[in-house]
Formats: sequence, structure tokens, C-alpha cells
Amino acid sequence: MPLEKVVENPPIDEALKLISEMIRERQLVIVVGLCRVTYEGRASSKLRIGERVVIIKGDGTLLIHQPTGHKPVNWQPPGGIVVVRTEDGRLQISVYRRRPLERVIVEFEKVEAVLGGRLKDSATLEMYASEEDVKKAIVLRPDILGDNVRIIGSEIRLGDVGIVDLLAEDREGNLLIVEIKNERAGREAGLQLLRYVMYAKSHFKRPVKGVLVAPELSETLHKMLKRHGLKYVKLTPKKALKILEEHERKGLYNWI
Amino acid sequence: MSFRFALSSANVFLNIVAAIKEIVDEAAFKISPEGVSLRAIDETKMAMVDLMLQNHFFDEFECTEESLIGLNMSEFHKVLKNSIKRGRQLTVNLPSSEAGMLTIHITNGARITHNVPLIGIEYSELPTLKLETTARLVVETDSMKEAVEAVSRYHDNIIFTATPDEFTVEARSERGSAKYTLTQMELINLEVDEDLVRSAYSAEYLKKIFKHKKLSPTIFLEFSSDGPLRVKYPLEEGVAELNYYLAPRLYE
Repeated sequence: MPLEKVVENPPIDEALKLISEMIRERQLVIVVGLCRVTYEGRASSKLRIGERVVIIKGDGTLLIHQPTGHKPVNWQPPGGIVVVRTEDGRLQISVYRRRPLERVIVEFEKVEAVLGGRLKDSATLEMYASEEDVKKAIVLRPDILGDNVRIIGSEIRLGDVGIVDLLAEDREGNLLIVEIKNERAGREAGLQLLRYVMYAKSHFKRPVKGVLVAPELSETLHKMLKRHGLKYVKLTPKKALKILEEHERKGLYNWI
Repeated sequence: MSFRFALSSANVFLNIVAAIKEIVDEAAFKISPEGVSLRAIDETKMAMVDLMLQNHFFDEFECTEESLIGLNMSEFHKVLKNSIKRGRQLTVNLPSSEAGMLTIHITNGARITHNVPLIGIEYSELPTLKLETTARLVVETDSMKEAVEAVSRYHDNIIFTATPDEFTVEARSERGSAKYTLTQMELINLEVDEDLVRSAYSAEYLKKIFKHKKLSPTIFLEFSSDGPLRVKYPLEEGVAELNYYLAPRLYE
């Protein structure tokens, strides 16, 4: 059970004991209550009294959320030092950072709830990139396929054989047939690519090369690609998403 | 720095400033002997507004040398909105009687004079966007506004799809989906160079862009698959126009 303790309306002294213990054990702590926030750093700010949700993670991350809106009204990245104490009957949770020198003090008049626990999460964004996303990432960065590679088309039908994910051209003038998988590829992917390459070789009057893009390959597929002279390019969904994120961050500057 | 221009329909200028302030809070007008222009990109770099008003768009225009006029667009809009009503004339000039100010006269018999503070803006010339568009359409501004309003309740990512026969605006999520279709018949013009052209844009920005039917009741839209959107509000053919550019959303 990830949530080890859930306490409602603890008196300030009890809240101090509870939260100190949870912080010491590097648990994920959530405190809901009526508080004021003071921030001191390169600038300084004060948030008057209000009901908020304060999250302190085992790595020192601090998030202060108001009842509405999706952005935390104040936050501190991992690495902060958390100090819990009471002063004049109020509970103070402070988070200190060295570089840059910053301090956030959350002072609770009343604590409505304290939750603490050890949550396990090793999942990463890997799950969320679709093949479409991986394809878009390659279109934005054709250099993933090789030097001086130019993308010529996407979703191209090759007779009855099927639809090719991407068609490209390398600096030697070879036609590249690109098959994309966003998860570990097996024999079937290799056979599909081979079918496309064979069709293209017999129908287009230029040299054709097959490229399989996937985060990883099965041993069988690896050998098969080698046997038939097909190329493998490793691209993980995580890397693909990173490419898309970077591109979006630049906004219109991508076209200037 | 010295210039003067007058517009017998002050409303037009009010609508232009309203359109600019959707994208940027502060921007600089470039006043030159050729006319008035403004090009500004918002802080997220997702949207750009590009205004071009040639000198013969105005009823009177005098300018001897290029000047950059930095203004807070929201404030400027409030000032103009306060005094501009249909049928009033607008005159803008520099230098004004007060240093660091822009003088605006709004006349309809009586005259209201405003002095608006100029702000120092770090101006760097934004180059033109290199856009290769494969879908172009001419549509009523209100239709686009309605389309985005209708589908955006499902998702913030609005998908534009154009085929040689029709143009659709849609949004999908686990809560459902909606699609707004405009065929060749319902559009003033539709030209699509490929079998299918598709791109997605932020509903928030599209709403800001499509609210200006007072500026022009019809607009020109251009985009390409996963490429930026260009929306042109024509003010006077070849002489004056306001363009918006919006970067595409690549993934959810």
C-alpha cells in the first residue's frame, strides 16, 4: 500500500511530528490546509492566506497548488532541503536551495489533512509515442536515417504489397524504403520491409535500400536484416518525443 | 522622428489594434515613407502577427524618415475604443506636444486628443516565414469562428484537414469528437495540391485569430501537412492586410 498514513485535521503539534517523520523517511508528503507562502530568492513574493495543497516529494521537490488552475503557484525543483517546525502555534514547512539561493516558507494556520507514503513509479514516457509521432520525428530530423537524407514522401502505396511509412533518398541517389515500429520489432516487420524492397526493386529504375526504424530488434530479426542487406536505425519513442518537444518549443522559428 | 497619418474611418484602426493585441501586449509599429507595418511574435513563439498598411491606404500620409513606435497594445486599444465610434476620423502624429508621447486625434465635429506614452521596445527585425502551402481556402471569418467553437469542447488540438473536395475542422478525445465540414460549395474558394493535407493547431490561439470579422468578413487560409497556418485578413487588395501565422501542434 503506497499511502502509509492519512490523517485528517491533526492539531499543529501532531502534524509537526507526522510530517517531520515522513520527510526524514523521504516519503511523498501531501499537506492540505490554510496557509501563507513566502518566497525569497532573486525576487520575493508573498501569498496571503488561502487553502492549498502542498506536495513535498522524497527528492526535495516542492509544489504548492491552489484550488483552481493547472500550474502550481510556487514550486521548487528537486534538491531542496526541507525543514519543518512550529512558530507561534503555526506549522512552518520551509524548503531551501543553494544555487540560486532561494527559500520558500509555507506557514499553516490549520492543517486539514496529511498524507504520506512511498510511491513507486519507474514508468517513463516510452509508452506514449505512437508510430505517427515517431514518423513525424524522422520527418523533422531525416539525419536520423543517415547523412544528406531527404524525405520524399509518406504513406506511399506500393501496388498490392502495402503502404510504406516513409520514402526517402540518400546522397548516393538510393531510394530508401523506411518501415517504422514504435516497439520491439520481430520477424514480421522484417518480412514486411523485404516485400516492399523487392517490389520497389522490380518497379523503380534505381537502387533501393530498406531501413527499419525501431527501439529494439529481436535476435532473429537482427540476423534477417543482415542477411538481406537491410539497415537498422534505432529510435526510441522517448527520443522521438524529445525531438517533437524541442521542435514545438521553437514554434514558428522552425520556419524562419 | 516625424510622421502624420489620417484615416477617415477610425474604426478600421481600432479593429487592427484589437487584432494585434490578441497576440502581443507590446509591439513596435514601423512607420516609413512606404507606410505602416508591424511584425511581432508572441512569447511562446507559436504565433506571429504581421501587418502591412501601404501609404495610400491612409487618407493622408506624411513621413520623411523611418520611425519605430513602441506601444502597449492593450492600453492603446483601450484609449482608441474609448473614443472611436463609427464615422469618426483618426489622425496620428509624432512629434507630439509632449515628449515621449504619440498624439492621437479622434474627430467627429468635436475633437478628442490623446497623448499615449511610447515605450522602448527592443526591436529585432523578424524575417519572413518560408512557407510552402499545399492547401489554400477562402472562407467566411464567422464560419471559422463557429467551427472552432463547436469542436474545441472535445480537445484543445484542432485538426484541419483539406482534400480537393472539402475542408474539415475537428477535435477528438475520450469524451467524444466533433467535425465541422465545409465542402467546395460552402467555401468561397478551395485549392488543395495533394490528396490530403492535415495539420493540428491550438484551439486557444485559433479563437484569438478568428474573432475579427469586423476587420474582414472573409479570410484567406493557407497551410500544409504539419506546417504553420497563415490567416490573411485583407483590408485593401494589395495595399493593406493583416496576417497571422500559427505554428502547428505536432502531437498531443
